[in-house]
Amino acid sequence: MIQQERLLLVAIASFAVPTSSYAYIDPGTGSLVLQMLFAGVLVAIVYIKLYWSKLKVFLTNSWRSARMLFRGGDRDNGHGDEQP
Amino acid sequence: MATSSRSPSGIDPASFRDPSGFVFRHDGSVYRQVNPSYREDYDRLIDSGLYSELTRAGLLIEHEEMSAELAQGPEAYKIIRPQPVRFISYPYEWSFSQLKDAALATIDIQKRALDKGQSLKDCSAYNIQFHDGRPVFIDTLSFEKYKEGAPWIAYRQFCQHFLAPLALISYVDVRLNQLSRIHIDGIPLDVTSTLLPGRTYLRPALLSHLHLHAKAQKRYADKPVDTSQRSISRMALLGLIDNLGNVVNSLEWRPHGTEWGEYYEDTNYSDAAVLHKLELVGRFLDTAAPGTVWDMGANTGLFSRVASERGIPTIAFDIDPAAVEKNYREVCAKKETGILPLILDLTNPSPGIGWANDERQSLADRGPAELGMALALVHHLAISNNLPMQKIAGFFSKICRWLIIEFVPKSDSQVQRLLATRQDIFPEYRQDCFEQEFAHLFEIHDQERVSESERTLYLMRAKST
Repeated sequence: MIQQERLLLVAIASFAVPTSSYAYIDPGTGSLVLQMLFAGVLVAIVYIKLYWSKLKVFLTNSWRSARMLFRGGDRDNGHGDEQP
Repeated sequence: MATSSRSPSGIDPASFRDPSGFVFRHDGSVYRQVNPSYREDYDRLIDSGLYSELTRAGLLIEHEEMSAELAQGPEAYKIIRPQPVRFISYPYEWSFSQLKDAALATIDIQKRALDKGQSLKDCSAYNIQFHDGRPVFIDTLSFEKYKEGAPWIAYRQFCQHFLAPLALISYVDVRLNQLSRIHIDGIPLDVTSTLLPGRTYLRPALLSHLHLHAKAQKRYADKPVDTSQRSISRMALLGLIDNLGNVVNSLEWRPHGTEWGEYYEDTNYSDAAVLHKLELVGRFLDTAAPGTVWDMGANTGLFSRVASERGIPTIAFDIDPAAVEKNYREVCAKKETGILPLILDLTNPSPGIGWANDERQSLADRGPAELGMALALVHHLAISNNLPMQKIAGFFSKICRWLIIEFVPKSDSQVQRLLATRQDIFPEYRQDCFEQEFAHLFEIHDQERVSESERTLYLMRAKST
């Protein structure tokens, strides 16, 4: 997240210097340049989301495994639903 | 894909910007010519399976390939006939959720296109139409090959046509969507940035796609920039599309406090009167048996549904964005296909706009409807807007062939409410004057007093037809 904020700050800083306006001679160029300037931030967000979802899956699986182990332990102690 | 055309050559006057092809009309059907310059892109759209995927998902209009004999000129790669769209509507006539759903459909299409090595080169809001209740992309020639490293050429258009009006409605005022009517290529981002409150600078997506985007446009407007030296990775592009989809999804507008939003809870007539009015509207519709209905002043669509539930394609117009929003949400919830709610100020209906006032049609150009409905409307036009009966009758005779119209007398409490704040300068607002003026242009086919009320419902037929 810190890296994402830094990249965003760099991108914001590039617009901090005031420029004179020449109306809309070509508003399209700025739109293309902006995407390229934000490319790093966008990739960082994709990776953060990707790894965050992987981390969530890992944590959920770990929690399930721990619960299974715990329940298994219970069964060993004779408290589970044992089948004849 | 409009069901009417205004050019003598048959070529749609709005279809001139894209060299890939154009829309034309022949023998009452609408066609699209694919020019040889678009051959590779058209074949890729079909061969990659993207066309099938999008049409199956209801995101792209289906078409069939036609004989080359229909070609308009010697050069044509293909002639296609898209499935007809019943009524062409424009973004300034949509409620918040209609615009939001149109934006999300565009994002969905772009994601699926990138997945198949293609990209939208044009994502104007005018490329979306409401077909059977849902937003569908109608410009089959807007897909091009995705070039690794290339930025999204339609990013500016997406922000101006969709994100800017949605943010303005969500953060400032629902009426700001009307800015789309004067800015045909979407709301300029510097205007959007000026109008949005300071707190939108704290939302990274709105800060980047609107505020910084506006600054970037100004900064690079007069500077030669060699964009070929820079690139944006596929991953970053996917991140951009995903981010745009997320911010659109997060924007909300809840209708409250608008004057007619709760109109049906604010009526002055009994349940028996409503039931009788519903029955009368149904009976009159069965007599006229129209192919299309325009309900003018439809509110949330209670009476429009009497028509749509009979299988008649119905447009439910209302001036109140809250009523149209509620109506659209009902359409979505019930998966209705025969009713299209739209925002329209009858005292200032959508004009023809764009080049030569011919790119986007006026309301009248999109008519006439086979039947118009004007229920509990005439007193608003005559008393709130000082419109003489003669002008009201003249307008309806232009936009519809049959008319179901309700006369609400001065003694009615709703009319008294309108007169409470203004001087009564309407001596002609009487039922006999109303009948006399309408009789110049319409033949009164049937009429009946609504039970437990002082109102009368008329079925009329325009004399010119």
